[in-house]
Amino acid sequence: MAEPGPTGFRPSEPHLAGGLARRSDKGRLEAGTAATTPPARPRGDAQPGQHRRVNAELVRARAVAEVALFAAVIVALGMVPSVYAFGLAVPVTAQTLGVMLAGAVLGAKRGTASVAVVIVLVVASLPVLSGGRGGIGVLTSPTGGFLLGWLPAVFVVGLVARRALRLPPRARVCGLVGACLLGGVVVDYALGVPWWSVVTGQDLALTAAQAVAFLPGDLLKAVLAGVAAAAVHTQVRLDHMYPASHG
Amino acid sequence: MTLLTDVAPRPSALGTVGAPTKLVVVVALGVLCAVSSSRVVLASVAAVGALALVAARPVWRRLGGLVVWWGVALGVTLALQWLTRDLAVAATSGLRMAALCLPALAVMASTGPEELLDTVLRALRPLRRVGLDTGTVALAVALTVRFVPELVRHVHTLRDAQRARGLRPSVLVTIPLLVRCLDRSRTLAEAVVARSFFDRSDDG
Amino acid sequence: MAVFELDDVTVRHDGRTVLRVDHLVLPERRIGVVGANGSGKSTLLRVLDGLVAHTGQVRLVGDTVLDTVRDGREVRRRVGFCFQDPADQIVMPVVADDIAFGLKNRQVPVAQHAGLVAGVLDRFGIGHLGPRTAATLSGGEKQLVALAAVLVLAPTTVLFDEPTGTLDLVHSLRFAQTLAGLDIQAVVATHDLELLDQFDRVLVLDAGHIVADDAPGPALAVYRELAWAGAR
Repeated sequence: MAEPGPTGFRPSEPHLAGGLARRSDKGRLEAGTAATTPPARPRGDAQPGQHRRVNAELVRARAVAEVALFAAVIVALGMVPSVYAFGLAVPVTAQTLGVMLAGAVLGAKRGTASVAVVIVLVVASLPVLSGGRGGIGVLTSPTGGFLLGWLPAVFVVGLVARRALRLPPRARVCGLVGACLLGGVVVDYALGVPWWSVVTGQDLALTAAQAVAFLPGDLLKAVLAGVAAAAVHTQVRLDHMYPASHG
Repeated sequence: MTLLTDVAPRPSALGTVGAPTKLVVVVALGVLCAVSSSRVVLASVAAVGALALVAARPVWRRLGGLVVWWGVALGVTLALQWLTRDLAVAATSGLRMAALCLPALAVMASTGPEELLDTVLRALRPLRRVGLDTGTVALAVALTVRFVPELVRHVHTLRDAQRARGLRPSVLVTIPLLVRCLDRSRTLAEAVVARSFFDRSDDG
Repeated sequence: MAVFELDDVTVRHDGRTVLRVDHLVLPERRIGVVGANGSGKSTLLRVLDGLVAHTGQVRLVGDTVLDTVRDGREVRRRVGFCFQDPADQIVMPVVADDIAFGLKNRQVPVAQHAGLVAGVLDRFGIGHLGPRTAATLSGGEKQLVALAAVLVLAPTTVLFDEPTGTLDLVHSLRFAQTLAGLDIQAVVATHDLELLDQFDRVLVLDAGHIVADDAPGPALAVYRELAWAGAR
């Protein structure tokens, strides 16, 4: 006999203990993820076993909520104490981790939307970037390219991540790490370093040499982001990250 | 919508210029200075920017973080340019960075966040044809601002929990943080629908 | 006052039946829903507001007959929903803006917003919270703000999903008092048995089915029986 829970009550279906299991809970409102409106039904027509499509609005609202919350995560991670990578005097903030996570967990479209929201906040002069930075002055600064580079970066992370989720579990982690490395490092640097070079007037080679200082931290963060994203995907099933199942 | 910012910009002559104009000017000047190598052009823009910044009566609390950042970047760049090339090249670099920084700071000092946000949202209106609704963007922005303090608190709680278990606070706090966010998004979605957000007319 | 009618309603998820109602009519003013976690309480509430996919028909019968799926927009104008964690329901950074959120969505003229917002906040004695940011509120304050945001829209019915779940005893009792003073129909899913004492009708759910439907006394007796049976 299972132990009764803290309220002394054991629900009649044990696997429902503590509320609907998170994995199944996630899917509940995703029934009918197609964004089309349900066909009109005559009154009183209740065909057994055939579900009415849930409001497409709920799906859209869910997307907005996910995008906003992950944008908030990116901002919040810029506000907590940074860690020092390998003891170098180069502080690494967790903010770029948040960007990669947005892509790896939410996918290309929603992840990019999250980053776009953050950039909108930056343009609105809110101090949302690590160090309390914000405003159009960030975009014109040497690291402005890294900020704008987040957009294609998170998109790439999301694209690769979705494919990675189709792999068997062990390969999945590697796939997600690869997604973060490709987007979070390769793509972001590809935009950030040239921009840095243009703004400062330095040679590309000199700029690249300086960028290398940040590389170990960013590589580490990409690995951590991939691992964390994999863990999140085992706990929560986001239907839009998987190919549509029929039936 | 009111964003939570403590400090409003001080009223100034520059404040009466519309935000869209200011943003466009800054971007245009930025492009100009990015491609130009003429020290005259760069110096002029930098000078105009400096004057504008002074005229904007900046409140340093608002700009502090960014100014420090620019200062460090400027210092490092000047030093490296002088070391690897020569003083003349370093001067050009310095002027370019000043020209890119000062007008931007002037705009930031003279424009409030609500106004800037409004400008961005209005600029996104044409995207309605491809299905992006400015009301939805505004909601996303509001939700983000709304939840940042709560998430920061949550991160600190998770870090404390890790410390209490004898672990060093690691980035793996992001896992429970994200799972909670995803749970939240489901209920938030229901709440938004229940309060008729999608029943609005098309005016956004 | 409006009456909910459910006909042949099934909610399935992951191949499992989460809620099954043959026929149910809810005209009473204070209706409680009890059951274990996962018994379908929350699902029943969501069905009443058209927030979950289902087969069958759910109608809101007042001066007109509305179907919760087909006439969702109109149903939502009349039915408010208070969620378990008020933090998940407050959408705007500033309290006054959040209260006005629903007003904006319903195209209430902007000139009226300030008055309506102040009115509903004063009604609960939290007028001073208007300019505050949501993140600085205590749990009890958040709940009042969430409730105010729903009530400012003048619904005829409010659905409550475990309103006292996150509250201590003092705030729970305060909530019960607040609820007693509201002139609306309330359907409340809860574990809080004291709250239900004054209710007109209580439904007991178990594994998605209504196993008891009675006045509070008898219904809660069935609920206790189930609980003891489960605990053994």
